[in-house]
Amino acid sequence: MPVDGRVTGEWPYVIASYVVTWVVFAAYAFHTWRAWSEAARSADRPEP
Amino acid sequence: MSSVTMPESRPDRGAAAAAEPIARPKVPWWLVGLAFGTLVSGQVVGFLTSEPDRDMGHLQKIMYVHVPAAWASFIAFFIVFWASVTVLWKRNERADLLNAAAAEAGAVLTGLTLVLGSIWGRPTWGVWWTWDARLTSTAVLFLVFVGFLALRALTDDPERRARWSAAVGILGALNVPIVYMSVKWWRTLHQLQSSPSTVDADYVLGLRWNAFAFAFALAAFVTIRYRTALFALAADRRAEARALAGGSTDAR
Amino acid sequence: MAFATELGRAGAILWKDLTAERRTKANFNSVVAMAGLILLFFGFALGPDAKGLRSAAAGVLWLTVLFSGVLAFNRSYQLELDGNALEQLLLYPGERWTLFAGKLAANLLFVFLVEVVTIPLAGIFYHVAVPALWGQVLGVLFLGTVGFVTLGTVYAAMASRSRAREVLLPLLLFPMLVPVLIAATEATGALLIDDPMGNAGSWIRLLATFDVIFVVASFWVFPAVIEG
Repeated sequence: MPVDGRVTGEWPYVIASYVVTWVVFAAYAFHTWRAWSEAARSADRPEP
Repeated sequence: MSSVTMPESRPDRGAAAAAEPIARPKVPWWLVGLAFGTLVSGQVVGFLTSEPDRDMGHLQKIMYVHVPAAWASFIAFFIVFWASVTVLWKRNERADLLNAAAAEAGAVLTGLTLVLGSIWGRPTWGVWWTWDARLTSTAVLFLVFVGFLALRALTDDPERRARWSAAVGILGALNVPIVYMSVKWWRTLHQLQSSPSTVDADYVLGLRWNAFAFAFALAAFVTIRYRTALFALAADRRAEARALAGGSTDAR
Repeated sequence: MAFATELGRAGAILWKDLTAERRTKANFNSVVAMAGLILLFFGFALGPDAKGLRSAAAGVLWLTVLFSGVLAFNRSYQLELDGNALEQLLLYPGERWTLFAGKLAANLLFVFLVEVVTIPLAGIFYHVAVPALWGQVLGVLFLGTVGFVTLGTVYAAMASRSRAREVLLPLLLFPMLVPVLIAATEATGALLIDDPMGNAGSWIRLLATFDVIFVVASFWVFPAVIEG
């Protein structure tokens, strides 16, 4: 909590925010990759 | 279902479409690299250039992910609005796929903005949530995106899905400025604290750099999702053509 | 001439919906019962203190209207979906917006009737006397209800024909109603205590703006929503 107007003990919050950002990006990238690879697999399927 | 054998003499309409190869969806690797590179370098630059803020200390560094996420989600939201209008006006199939891709990325980015805002708010205001006009309208925007995606997931007919999500996109877009205004007036009336909004000149470089990084990341995600959807559509068409041509059904 | 014919079509749909509702009353009775239940339950949740209840009355009233009214919209299309009546309606010649106008009018009338029962009930439960500015309160009720029902009629046209319509309609509709809820609650709350700060006027203007924007936009998007 602020001591004479200046926030203290802020590092955990800073680190948490960057961790959250990268986790979200990684998760969405994984989701995107999975959808892409599923689509690509069906392209490779030979004609019956 | 039991297998159905097609008579040999069946006229093979659409055989050409069935045989036509479909190119794999291309990944714009240069865009992915650009996004990743600017994200990493932007955060390094942000950390190097920013002295601890007089009031917020190192907490100010959250700005480099929170604010760009909010801006990028607004870009996604404008793409949704533009694509929705195009779908209703031109009945354009591709605009619908772009609409879906942008809404999905928008939902991720607004969700991220909310979580980051919350992490910032706890040490700054002592609460995880404040009824700030920007934060609250971001929450409403997030819910509009979620409703949009839920409607898409629960509607089967692609043509109908395109029209419906365009309607939801347009009405949702019109609503966001009204939500912002109403929450702002509502708060002024109840006299709550205002959020710090001015940005010190020292932080501008890091903020801009990260804003571009998030915009590139958005572009990369939307492009890949769009191309994947375009490809899935072509694969569905081919499966349909093959079925019509007398081959076995190849659903997806 | 042509416009009068179109209006006649809208009127026919309004008449058809009202007749169906009048003959069964199933929907109206259950929605009103639900509204009464919500009013009681908010009372239990907020506690029996008369002063607290009075200050919460405006918000509770609007939440009751939204939560009970939303039950009516899907039903309005469900009637059409049973027996494929909607496809026949779409086959008739004429503009599609007349279908929206008719449905909108029927839903508006329905929600107004629900309010006729709900509002006196809310006044009794929450110890609110008839306010001196009752005319303006009615104006706020009208504007808020128009905004709510307009969007409800559009979204129900989609939700009622999707899977999981029960949850999809509120999920789509309620985020859109944030300005209505805020403005209507603030205006009603101020008018109930005779508007000492003179705030009600700007909230009423906000409601009116919301209504104009979304009535126009709804008439524009509805033909694309209802077809096929």
